[in-house]
Amino acid sequence: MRKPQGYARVLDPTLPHDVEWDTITCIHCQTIVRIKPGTLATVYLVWDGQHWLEELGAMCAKCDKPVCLACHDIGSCPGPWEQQLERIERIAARAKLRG
Amino acid sequence: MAKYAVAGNKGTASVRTIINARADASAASRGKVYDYMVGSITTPADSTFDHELYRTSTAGTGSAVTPSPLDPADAASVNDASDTITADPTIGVLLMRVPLNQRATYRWVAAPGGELVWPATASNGISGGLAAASTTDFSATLMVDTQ
Repeated sequence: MRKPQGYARVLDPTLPHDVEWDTITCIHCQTIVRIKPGTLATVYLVWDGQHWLEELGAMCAKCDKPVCLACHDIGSCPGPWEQQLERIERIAARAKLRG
Repeated sequence: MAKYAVAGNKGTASVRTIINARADASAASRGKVYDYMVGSITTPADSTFDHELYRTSTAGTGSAVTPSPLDPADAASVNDASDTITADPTIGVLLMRVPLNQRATYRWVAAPGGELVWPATASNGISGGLAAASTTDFSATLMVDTQ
């Protein structure tokens, strides 16, 4: 994958070789999503509790970045996580001032 | 920006959290997790554990861990951390889930821009843990960049 946002590796002595994959970080909530190799983040691998399922990847048209499927299902853009952080910190600061 | 290593182990209490890094309760500051490593330190066995990274909003109960600066010239971390948790912190949004054999070791590394950031809000942080409470001991390291 070009420009991955992360990389994961599993060293498991019960497997014949190490397992590695690229990841993306959801621009809205920062969930780390496993990417199917060679798909340029267009196919996600999602753990359903028993298997890794192939799911069509998702993009936020406003942020122009990949998002996780849970954020995609919401259907609206809350802004990048950085903006949400600023909102959370403002609310916490106001609450602190009020005592 | 100073970088810190937060290393610890879960202990044998029946909890989900292995290691927690968070903003200080009184002088809160943002932190960015850019690397996570986890493995079991008990007798090897073939069992599956669902490993997770999740947001937390309280400190929980555990032993304090001092984040260790990667550059010895850096000042002590303004953030806090704990391991050997006996009461889980308040667990929030799930950020990563990966099922692993107990014998396996896992590492996730963020590319620049892909880090997990916690807000500069009292005791808010990010923890490495399990999807379900377990008494099995694990060892984990979170690498944290401060802002």
